[in-house]
Amino acid sequence: MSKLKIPKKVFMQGGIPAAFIATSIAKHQSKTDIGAHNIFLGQVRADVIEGKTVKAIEYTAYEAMAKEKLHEIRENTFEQFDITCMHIHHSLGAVAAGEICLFVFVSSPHRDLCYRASRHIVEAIKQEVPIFGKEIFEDESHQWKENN
Amino acid sequence: MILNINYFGLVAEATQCQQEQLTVAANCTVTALQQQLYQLHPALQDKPFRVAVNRAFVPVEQPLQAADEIALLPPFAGG
Repeated sequence: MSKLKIPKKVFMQGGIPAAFIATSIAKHQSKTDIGAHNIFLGQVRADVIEGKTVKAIEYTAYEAMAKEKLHEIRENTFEQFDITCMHIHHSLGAVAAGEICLFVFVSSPHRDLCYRASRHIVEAIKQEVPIFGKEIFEDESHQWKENN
Repeated sequence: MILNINYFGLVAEATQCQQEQLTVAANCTVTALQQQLYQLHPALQDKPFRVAVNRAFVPVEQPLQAADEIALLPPFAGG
């Protein structure tokens, strides 16, 4: 069965709830060829910039291109790493400090591939996917986030 | 020819819109388009962005076509 047949839904409004992550884990219980999962969670950090504290990040995206890039990332991850499955979810809209904005879930029979594939996916998302972040400070002013 | 230009993030904030149509010369390149946009929107002149053509970054001397999907993309912040 092809792992790549349909583009997967990645974006969701607001922070990614812990219950969603728990449900995703539970859904894999029947896949008994899996021996390892690696879960990466990106959380909005209350950065202090020039004395002002970030209270939320508002995410927007060039969705048509982002979907293509995410699909490419999935394809080349499966080509490079013989993992069983992967899931990527990213927030759009406002995500408060402390909430989760990125959820990457990789599963494989053994752990080595999991660690490596997960890292590969997260770095690729940060480099290649046109998602934009407006950092909103507690005083309602803002600046634009830039990945490094 | 007429091009549809899409703006995102801090670029949309600078231009005060998310999309507009622009009349450009027939063999307009990415470089020429950028110059024209700087004239039209001086607030863009000090902003970091790249121009995507049909959802990819292309050589800046590549001639654009009327049906091209153009987007001005500021630095990414995913994850």
